Amino acid sequence: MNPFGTRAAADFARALDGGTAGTLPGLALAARLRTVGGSLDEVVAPRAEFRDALRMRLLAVATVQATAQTTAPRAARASTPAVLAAPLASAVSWRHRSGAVAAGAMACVVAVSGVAVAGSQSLPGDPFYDVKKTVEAFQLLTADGDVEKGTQHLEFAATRLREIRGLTLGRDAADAGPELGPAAMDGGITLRSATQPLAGGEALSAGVAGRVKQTLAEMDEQTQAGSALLNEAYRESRTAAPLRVLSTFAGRQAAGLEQLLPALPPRTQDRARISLALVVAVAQTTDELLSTDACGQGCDPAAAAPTLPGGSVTGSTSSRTDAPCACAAPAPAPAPGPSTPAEPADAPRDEPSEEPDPEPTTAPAPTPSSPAPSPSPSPSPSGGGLPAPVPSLPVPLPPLPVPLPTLTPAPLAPAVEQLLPGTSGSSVSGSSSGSAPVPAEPTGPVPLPQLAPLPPRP
Amino acid sequence: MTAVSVPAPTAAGDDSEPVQHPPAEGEVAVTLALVQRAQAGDTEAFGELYDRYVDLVYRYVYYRVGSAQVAEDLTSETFLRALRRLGSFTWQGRDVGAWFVTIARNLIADHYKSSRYKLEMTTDDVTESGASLSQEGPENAVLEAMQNKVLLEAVKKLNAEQQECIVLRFLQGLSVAETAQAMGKNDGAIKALQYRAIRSLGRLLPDGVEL
Repeated sequence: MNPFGTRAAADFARALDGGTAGTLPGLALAARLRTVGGSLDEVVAPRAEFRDALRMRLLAVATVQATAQTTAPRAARASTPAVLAAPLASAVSWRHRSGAVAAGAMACVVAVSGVAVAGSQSLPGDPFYDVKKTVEAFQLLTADGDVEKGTQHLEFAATRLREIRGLTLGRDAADAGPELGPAAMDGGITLRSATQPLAGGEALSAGVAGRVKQTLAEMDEQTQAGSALLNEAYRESRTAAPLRVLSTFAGRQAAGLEQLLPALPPRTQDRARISLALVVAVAQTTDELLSTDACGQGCDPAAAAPTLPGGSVTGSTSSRTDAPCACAAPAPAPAPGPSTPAEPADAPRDEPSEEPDPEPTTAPAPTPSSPAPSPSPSPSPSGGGLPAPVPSLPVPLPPLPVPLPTLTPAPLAPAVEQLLPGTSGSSVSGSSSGSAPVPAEPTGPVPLPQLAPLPPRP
Repeated sequence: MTAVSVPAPTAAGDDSEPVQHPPAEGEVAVTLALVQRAQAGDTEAFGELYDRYVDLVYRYVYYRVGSAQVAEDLTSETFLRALRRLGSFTWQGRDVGAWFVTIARNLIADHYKSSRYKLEMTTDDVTESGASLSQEGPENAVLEAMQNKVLLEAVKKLNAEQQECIVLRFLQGLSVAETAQAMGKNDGAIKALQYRAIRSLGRLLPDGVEL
């Protein structure tokens, strides 16, 4: 700019702010503009409605992003393949009984099958999370048979865990986790836990904590539903494959939860321990069943059904300390032919008195069992909620508070109930999702992220 | 006049601020602390930043695009983008508001390049409402409203830089220093720019409008 222009500009600037008489060209115009700006100030302003709505939306986005930004890098480091730090003192290892390789392979295939769907990466609170749930409901509808449905429930439970990980550690961490790799299939799964608790917990807002708790509850429901169905399938089919699916799932879930626990918001950790106890119990129960192979050819059909602690969604419940084998009909015919792999009933379960096993049990269970041969609900010795520590088990479970919250949908907010695709077996309640795969946005009562009513921070 | 929370000097024309960033103080320190808290995951801190700057951003966008609907869209996008980029924000001596304005500026540029851009003037509603706020008599109010409309339409005909300078410096009443921060220029450049912009605007206006 030539010096002349610069000087004119400087003069102009000085005159503007010095308030000299409007002799320079443009000063009047500038003053006019200022007046216009001032008078329009009240008019040119964002609508209150718009301003408030945008604020709510920004806070919702910020809530999710805050966790990703603060913890994702550390989460990425912590979850690099399989190498976590020192093993937990009470590490438990589950071992797969060497069964038929084919059965194991089938279990793998069934367990890892999945369908990529729209919104599959979304987390609770995301705009399209309800789409994800709708698709899950649809998948349940189209699943055929107990094995498929049960496996589907377990996949959903695993997804819930991934979502909790994503909520806590950031989206990038949602798909990471304990890498169980090929060792999981032929060897044992050893629990490890990170020695350095991820410090992201403090940064999380109350909103995320609430979502984590809800998702934990949903995860438990899915776990129970899947477990019930797979146990039923085991009884009906007399093959161990459904149990292997369950065992693999439970082991993986337990490992994942164990790793995640220190990173969870402090207010959610108690709830998470309940979930952990559930999957641990499932794993142990399932492994017991697998080890006794009670529902093989020669099992005792009169024995009580093995079920989940706390009651399964399908309603056939009894204490998990009950007799392992409960094949299909209560009809007493003991297995023809070769007897009975039921004999290594050395498991800490005892057979019911009604029909003796072809082989006597070697180690009567120290815990009482429910008397009924048929699967009927009976109070477990540990109470109606969750398993209490069983003395016969090698590892004491963490003491659980009594009374325990039920794992049924009771505590869920109505909004979440509407989202849940009805975890009981084959029924899908409360949503019309079965008819429309992947609607862009559900039109029903599902609330989209009106996350304004975040629970107040305690 | 528009009040904006920008660095301390409220007197217009403070042109002594050095280019190198002095340590933050006063209002800037407050907003900087908010940014840092937001970066650490404090979502409410970002909410407070929003409260402080949403009007500024909205008005800036509105004066430049002339449509309330577009202003809302771009304001939303500005803050969402700011939220996404929060992690990479590093204080460079400018007020945080300047950072928001920069994001908005880029979005406006994209908007003009996109098919959403419409050329018709949509300032009617604003100028008429503005007239109702005038303290003068009815005839003057009508006259003033008409002149406001003509004026604002002329502003929109300026090139992007001059338009922005006029909007920030005069319509929104920022000081030279504040405008310099928002536009990422130094004070001298703003003085030159405002001079050129006023002269361009004068040429665009029909005779007699400028009083």
